Amino acid sequence: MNEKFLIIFMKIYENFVGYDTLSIFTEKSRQNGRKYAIIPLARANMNYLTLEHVSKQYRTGAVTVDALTDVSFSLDDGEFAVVLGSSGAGKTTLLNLLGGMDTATAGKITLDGTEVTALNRRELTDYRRFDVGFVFQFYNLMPNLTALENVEIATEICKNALDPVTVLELGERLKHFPARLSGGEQQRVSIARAIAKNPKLLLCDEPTGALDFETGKHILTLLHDVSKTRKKPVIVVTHNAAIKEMADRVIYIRSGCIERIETNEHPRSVEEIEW
Amino acid sequence: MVKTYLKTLRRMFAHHITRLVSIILMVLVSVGFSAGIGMATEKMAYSLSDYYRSANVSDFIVRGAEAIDAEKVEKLRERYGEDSVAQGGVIEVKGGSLDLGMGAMLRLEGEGVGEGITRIYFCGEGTINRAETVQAVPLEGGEGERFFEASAERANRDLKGFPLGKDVILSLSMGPISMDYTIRPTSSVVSPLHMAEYDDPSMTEGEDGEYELLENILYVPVREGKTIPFLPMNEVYVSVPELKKTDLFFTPYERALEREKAEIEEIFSEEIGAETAAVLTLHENFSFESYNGYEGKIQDIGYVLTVVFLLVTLLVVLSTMTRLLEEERGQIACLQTLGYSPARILSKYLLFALVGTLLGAVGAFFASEGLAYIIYINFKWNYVLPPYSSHISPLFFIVSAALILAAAIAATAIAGNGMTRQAPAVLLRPKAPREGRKVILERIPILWNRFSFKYKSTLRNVLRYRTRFAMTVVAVMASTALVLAGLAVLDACLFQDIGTAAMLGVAVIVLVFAALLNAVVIYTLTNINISERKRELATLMVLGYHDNEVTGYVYREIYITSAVGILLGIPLGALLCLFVFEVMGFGALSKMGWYTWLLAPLLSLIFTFLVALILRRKILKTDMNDSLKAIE
Repeated sequence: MNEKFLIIFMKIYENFVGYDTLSIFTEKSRQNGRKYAIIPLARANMNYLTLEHVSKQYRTGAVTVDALTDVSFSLDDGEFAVVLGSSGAGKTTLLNLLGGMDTATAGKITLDGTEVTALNRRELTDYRRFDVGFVFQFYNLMPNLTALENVEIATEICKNALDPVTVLELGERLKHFPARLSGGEQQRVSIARAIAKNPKLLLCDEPTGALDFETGKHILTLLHDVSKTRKKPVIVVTHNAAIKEMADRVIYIRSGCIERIETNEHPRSVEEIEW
Repeated sequence: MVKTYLKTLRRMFAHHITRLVSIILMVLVSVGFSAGIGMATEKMAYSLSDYYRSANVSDFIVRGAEAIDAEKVEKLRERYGEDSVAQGGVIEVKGGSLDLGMGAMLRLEGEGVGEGITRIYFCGEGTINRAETVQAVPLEGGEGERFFEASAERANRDLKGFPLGKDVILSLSMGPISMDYTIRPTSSVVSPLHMAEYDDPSMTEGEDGEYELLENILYVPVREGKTIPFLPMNEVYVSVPELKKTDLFFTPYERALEREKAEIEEIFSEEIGAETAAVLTLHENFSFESYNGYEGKIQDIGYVLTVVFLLVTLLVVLSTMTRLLEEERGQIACLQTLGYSPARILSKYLLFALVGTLLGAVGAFFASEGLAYIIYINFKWNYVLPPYSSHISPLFFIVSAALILAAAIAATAIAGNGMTRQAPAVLLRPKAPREGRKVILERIPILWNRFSFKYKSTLRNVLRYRTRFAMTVVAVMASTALVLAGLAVLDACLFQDIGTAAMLGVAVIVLVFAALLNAVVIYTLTNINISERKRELATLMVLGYHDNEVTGYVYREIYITSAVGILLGIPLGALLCLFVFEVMGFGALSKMGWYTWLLAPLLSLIFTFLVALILRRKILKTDMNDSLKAIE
């Protein structure tokens, strides 16, 4: 019921704006008197994010587990990357290291000139605060805050935050508590929360894992557009191989190692993908 | 199957060790307190009963204005037996002289005779009211018709005592004729009738109409043929061993006492009618009656405070067990899908509650022994204490421990039953986080919009978990009230009435136990609160909230809740104080030092901050991944 509502809502919106669901990034365009944003894809900032020989070991007692071994790759800004791998392959570990939620055992991660692997605990907190946005499978919204407030919770502590109301295109429903929102709506709030911070990097862990096919597609569209309009790398971690079709770059990961990296010269649009 | 089951059991205990310790501590404190107070009163009763039995204390004293009629004494002997009846006499000499009437005067001279009242007992033969010798000197010389070797009651705060071996001259004069008797105290003793260390009243009224306090007591043994004339044997002591078979503080003794008193009054009906004699029981003895009074006071205070202690503990144990079950939701569902019976699944949690309360109870048993001894030993300021009875009376312990045990088991069973009744599929899904709700304040946008969102969320949280909020408030309120009551008693004992040193032990114990309970309660509830918010805390951490901002999320709520509890605790504490003062017969709210009112809430506050400090590390150790990715 709610999913349907969302879809209808979005369709109407798309017709109205004459563009797809880019609505969440229109605030600047509006300031310019435009209805939608036009951002040139040229002059990409190469190697915006780089990983060099990154390894992570977990030690529990006498047992040492190599969660990641010698991972190296780089992304340009505006790239939409998909990290593919079965469960236990090290996807989440990779995401945690990128997101400053964990520290690498060896290697170097650099984001926009900042060496993430050299940050201390406090600096890592600031890194998460200003530079990365997270989207989780289970949304992780604060249940006692309304949709809007859930975005504000992130923007309140940020310097360059975007206007939450504009980012969160939920209309009337932005004053609802998460429990009153559908899964898709909750994930939209969660994405809005992540991007309203205006982060340098957007990390998504199975963002469509808890959603149905249609809603999932819309969410993916949203994420894909973030990379293109905000010119920031978006990394989607998933075990759903179908998603790779729309990625600029696909990173295959297996047993903690990078199996191969593919570059899609012609990524397909979400509408063409089925799973 | 049993092996694996035992494994899960062991792991559950290891995983929830903090909870187990919380339960153990709370049960230990509250059951320990209630059993300790109960045990103390019983020990007091048994110790004194044993002592009175061995001293063969007189259950009745027939006190006449003149010599007791020998015929009637004979009647008493017939009824109670030869050994149960003894004759004696008593006079009180004020300032060394006593007008015996009809021109006869008695004078008392010698070291130790002062301005106050000296009571002299002339003791007949027999073993009744056997006094214990504290100190003795050998008798050198001294014999003859008019020489009496005597004993004196030991010196204490009011009694001066006599120097041993120094003669006291008692002279009787009538007109020009005068006769001297030499009384030489060679031993100082403690009589079971005068074991109080102070405030022992005489039978002589002072100018203010009150009985003056005794200054000295002499025991002069008289034999047939060796007496002092003019001094009548005006007392009869009756000790009935059968009566004392039951303990002296309990109803059976009281009933028997009443019954026998009526019998004796029947014998002396003539004198009693003429108001020349009275039948006294132990209740007319200051030492016994004040001791009895203290025992009653401790019992009354204990009863009321015990109720509060147990209620608070029950409340918090219930919260703990409910939360534990909630956390084990996934595991319960898993076992259900594997076909384990609800009884089998829940037995684990029942065992947890059982072990927690039982271990606490075992600790409480030993604690109560210790408490009882501390309370008892404090009475040495008030009495020459009889040997501490070895009698163990587990009644209070059993009742309070059984109550907590039954309640903990029942609550676990009810909560668990509610859970296992649900379909495993329902349990496997994460419990929907409780919906946020708007608070009334939000209707006033001018005010509400001024709050930053962190205060908004705090206020909503307080409302969202209304039950938890109420429970925490009640628990903090009650334990703060207990602390206030403890402080009030302590304050009253120390500064308002110096005659209450014995209650000091009780006051300290109430205070210490209330403070302990307060600390454990705040810790446990805060801990539960944090574990419930793990996911929200992890979300904030991922969003890049700094340590203080993350802890602040729960701490603001805890501070608000604690503050409400503490504030409400003051009036409740005042109520408890009123009751306690009423029971103790001293102390008043208006006389309480201002600092007690400040100290009780301050203590709760300090505990809250301390707990916050201790749990800070736990919050910051929250694993962002585990909390955010798991479905709880």
